Amino acid sequence: MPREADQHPARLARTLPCRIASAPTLFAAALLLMLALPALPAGRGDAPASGDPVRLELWTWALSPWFDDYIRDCLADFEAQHPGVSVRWIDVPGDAIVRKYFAAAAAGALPDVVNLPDKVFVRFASLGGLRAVDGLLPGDADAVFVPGALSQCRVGGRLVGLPWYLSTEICVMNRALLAEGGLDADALGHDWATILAQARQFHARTGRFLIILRLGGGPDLLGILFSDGRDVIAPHEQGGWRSNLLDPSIVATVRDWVDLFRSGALPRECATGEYAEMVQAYKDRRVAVINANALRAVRNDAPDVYAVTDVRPAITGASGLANIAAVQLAVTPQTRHPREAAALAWHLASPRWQTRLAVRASRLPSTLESLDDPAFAMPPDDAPDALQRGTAISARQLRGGAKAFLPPTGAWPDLERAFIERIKRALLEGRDVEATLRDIDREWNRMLRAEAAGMPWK
Amino acid sequence: MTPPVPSTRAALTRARSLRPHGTLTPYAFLAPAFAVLALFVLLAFAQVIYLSFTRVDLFAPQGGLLANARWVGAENYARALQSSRFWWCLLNSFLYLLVTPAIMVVSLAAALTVTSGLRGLGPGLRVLLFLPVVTPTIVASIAWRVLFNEDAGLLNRALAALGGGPVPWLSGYPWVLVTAMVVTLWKGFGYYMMIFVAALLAVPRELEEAATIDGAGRAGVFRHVTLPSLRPVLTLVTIISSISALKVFDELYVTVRGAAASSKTVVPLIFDVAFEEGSFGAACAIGVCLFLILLAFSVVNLRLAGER
Repeated sequence: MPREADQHPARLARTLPCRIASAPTLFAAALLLMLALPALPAGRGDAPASGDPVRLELWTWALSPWFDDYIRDCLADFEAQHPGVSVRWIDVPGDAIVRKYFAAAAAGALPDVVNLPDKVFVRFASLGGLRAVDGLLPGDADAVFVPGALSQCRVGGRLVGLPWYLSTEICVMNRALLAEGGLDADALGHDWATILAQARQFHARTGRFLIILRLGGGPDLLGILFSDGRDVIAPHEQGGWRSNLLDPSIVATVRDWVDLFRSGALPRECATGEYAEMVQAYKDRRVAVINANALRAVRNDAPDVYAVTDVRPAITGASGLANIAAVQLAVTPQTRHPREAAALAWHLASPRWQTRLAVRASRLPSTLESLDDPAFAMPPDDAPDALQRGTAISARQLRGGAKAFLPPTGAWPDLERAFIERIKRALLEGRDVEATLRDIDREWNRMLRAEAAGMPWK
Repeated sequence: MTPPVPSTRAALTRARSLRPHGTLTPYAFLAPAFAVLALFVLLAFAQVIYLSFTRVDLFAPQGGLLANARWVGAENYARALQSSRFWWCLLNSFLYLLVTPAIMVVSLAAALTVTSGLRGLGPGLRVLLFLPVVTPTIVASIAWRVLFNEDAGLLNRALAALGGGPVPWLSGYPWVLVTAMVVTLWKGFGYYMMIFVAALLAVPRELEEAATIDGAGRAGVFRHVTLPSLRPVLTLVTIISSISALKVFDELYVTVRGAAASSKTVVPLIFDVAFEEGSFGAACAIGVCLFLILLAFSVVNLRLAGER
């Protein structure tokens, strides 16, 4: 007979047969099973057999909803020319592309073809995140594309993408605000040194801001150095590159702009704001000038400001060259259909489709044939539409030798990031400019040495 | 006459006879919850720990984090601990904890107001004060960003009207933390207010009346009766709001976006390292460090609460 104490429910429960499959055993077994599942490769399986239907995925950068019908037409045309191939199109919002690309790579779910802005393109190319398309393209890229644009797509001697649409910086001005400060389109400086002096005077006279730049929130300070013809990196005697930031002329230029910001003659967003904040400040009539092709956004969002907006060639430095902002198409390393993916990129970047896109988007095409389209000829000076004049000015700058301000090193995106982060602190925390540049110089040299040694620089 | 009480053994035997599928049945019922927990918490946690000791080749043709992870030992931890950025962000995370007492004071004051202060206005006021909780954080952060704009924002304009200089709410350190804390406070106090309201309504009226009869004023009743009754809830709110403060992300990511990396806290740092720099191993290592800190923090909190 069991004793009374043994009849306690908890004690009895321990005698039940479920002890065999105890909770810890079940837990451990289930956990092991769950852990084993994701250890399997997350790729898309074996290479497809020839003749299987091919389904490609295309990511574009910030084109929807404005260009939905254009993209659908273009893809329908591609599918008609490539029976058995279908394309799934996904548009990624402007500021999410880097995060989404990293996340998709981690999940083994990269698209087949991706559209990236130039800085992001260079960064992923340098990280091995894009696939070389030499030998995969259905045509000769050198014969089709503008050389300056195509050269941006070569990394380490390999073609890792195709140029798509471009724009060059242009000077966008609010005539009414300029007039308040006693300036007009002709009196406004064409070079950065003059703009720097005028910005101080304009603020003193009106309390408003002449210009907004991404000094700490983006690469504009580096852009000013490039346009002045200053080399921020120089060839190293032992091969590779070294920082040239402590060159006295570079230190002086950086100090001038930091001092201007500290004097209050530039908006606070100059230290932290990105492109969107810059355009917003112009749309809000808080600044009179931006050196960016933001005419479409101004026209759409602030028609009253657009009505008093004028355009002019970009503000430049001693080189007189404007910066090209380009957008590329690339094939990703996780595609199972590299040839078809390259064909899709080629189709999107083809002259026929680029001309249509560039005209519609007020951007420039990257193919030689498209640039000859009358849409990109200079309209008369008194053409009423600023957007049209802006596109034509941009095309003229492109033919005149505008180039991307991107030094020839794969580490550049990280060098740029380090520069911006430290300059931001100098702007906000009052740290000495030369000491800041010395810190950046050390960090750049460390990264460049690591790059030369084939090691990760971060 | 009372019916005979069946013995425990008899009751268990009868219960066992009702089980149609044997002894694994309870586990079958637990399985769905366990599967969700295992998949989204335990598995993810185990992966994070493993990845924190690896370097991942993100762009390998056959993708997948675990499949392309290469064991590097404690390298990621060493890099994190040697990085001044990590320590700055950790310091900022602890500074961010200052929002916890502020939230507690404001939410308790709000709870006292809606339960005892303005009779008739209670329900409406409760809804009004709870509105920030249901406002999406992104919307709130953008709205506050407009208010805090350094050149044209309402706050700096008001300060200028009063003769004060502009405050770098969105860019200067430590103002960026203050700005984010204000958003956290505004967004969160309504939630804690509701917890306090429930606790205040559960305080026995007899105790308060007895204290009043004994000559205690309103402050005395609050100090000697209400507050001690709220102690378990205060502990709960302290722990929840502290952990939330240490894990803050949205407010810093949206409201003070663009501020220097060294003025962020640990969670935005993890996000940047993983999704802006693509260093998943390093991000996981920082995440594990934060987990250990949170664990220690919670244990200390509970111990202190237990001692009280």
